[in-house]
Amino acid sequence: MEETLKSLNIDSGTLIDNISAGKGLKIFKILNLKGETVFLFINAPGERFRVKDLIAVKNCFLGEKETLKVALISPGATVRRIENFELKPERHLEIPKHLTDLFKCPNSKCITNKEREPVKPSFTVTQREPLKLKCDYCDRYLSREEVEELIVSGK
Amino acid sequence: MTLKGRDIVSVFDFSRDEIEYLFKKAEELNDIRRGRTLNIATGKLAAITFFEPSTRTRLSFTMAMKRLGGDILDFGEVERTSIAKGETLADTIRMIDGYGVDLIVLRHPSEGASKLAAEVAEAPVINAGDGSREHPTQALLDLYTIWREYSCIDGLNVGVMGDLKYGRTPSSLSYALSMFSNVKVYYIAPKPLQIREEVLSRVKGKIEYLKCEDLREVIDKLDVLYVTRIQRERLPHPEDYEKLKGLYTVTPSSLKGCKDNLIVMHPLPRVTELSHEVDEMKHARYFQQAVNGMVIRAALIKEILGL
Repeated sequence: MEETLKSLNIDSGTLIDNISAGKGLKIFKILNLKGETVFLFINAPGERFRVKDLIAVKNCFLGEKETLKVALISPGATVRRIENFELKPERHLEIPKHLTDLFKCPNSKCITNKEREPVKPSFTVTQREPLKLKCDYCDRYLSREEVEELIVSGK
Repeated sequence: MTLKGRDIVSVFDFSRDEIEYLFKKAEELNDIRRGRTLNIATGKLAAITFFEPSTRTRLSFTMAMKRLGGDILDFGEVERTSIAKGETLADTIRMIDGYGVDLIVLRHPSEGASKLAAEVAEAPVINAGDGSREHPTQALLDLYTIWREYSCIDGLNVGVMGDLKYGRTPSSLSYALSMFSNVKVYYIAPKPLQIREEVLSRVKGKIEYLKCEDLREVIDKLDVLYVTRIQRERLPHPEDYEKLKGLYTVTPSSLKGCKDNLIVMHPLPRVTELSHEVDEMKHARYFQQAVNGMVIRAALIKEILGL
């Protein structure tokens, strides 16, 4: 991979690896990488004859919120820092028990959607596999697919 | 066991033992039932903050506080307050809390409003209904009514009928029943108004339940029939209302074949779903249920205030 980074001239930045095939474009969109040099690999060869997507971004590092969004869209993805064309140790993305202020609750009657009310949307993970979240305010349950849709649509 | 200072946002804020403890404490307040005022909450003030119309719950909390000898601060109709000018719930609650009230009773159309209020207020908050989410003290009074009848909740067959999707009482009642053993719940409703999956997912494995569309299929099995109102505007095809109205109206003939000791309950107000002829039958319990609401709320207030 380091050779590839050299050929792409990414001496510093971030590599998001092991993205489930088909999710790369969605992750590219949510990261809102305007003006950055980005390489998106779709259906790249992965382990055991499987294909995967990858994203390499020059001079850009993911914040906590972006990292969590990546984990929610593609739970198996890994994030690695690139320094001097070298890949730093892999960081497996863990979804914490509580998620705050990442996306809105889809229930329009939820208090977190009330205009000007000083409350952030927050959710508790009630099941990891398959992922299931519950709104801490209105008790609405969300599947991983719904979460992905909310993140991608920017809601 | 103490409930002192506790926020009651959900039925799950109680344990089974606490619910049964409250039933016993309510029985000690039976003088209230006879119209007596006890002077155990003298000097205590409860804020009654209702952002939605309500008759029974509002009066019930007001009477409960007054019968305990305490006082209330009721901010009246929303249209006449600063909320109409766009004040947030959080600001309203902070302001009322700042007056030093001992308790805040909140009804609000937004789901989760009581949780937000509990987060910003120092005083304990009781959820008196938040959107379609929950109405924990309604569930408490419903269970109390059943408990007074059967002296236990375990092992009962409960039919819940009407608008189970949008009504908040069926969800809170289901959660409360899930704390007891061997309870079987029959959800009787037209398909578009059946109980929400999120409610079922929280009671799964704790109660046995069966969904059906016709009361006649299950009437002989029920110990309790809990009736709620179907509202025309809730149906995907409002023109179906007239057809469904008959099917989901309880009359003496729809109770044919029921158990001798069946009790019929309703959170009230009723419109046409429960005929006045049922009032005269030995099964009717809804007016006692409303009175029980005042007594159990008095018991809850007494315990939360640590009196």
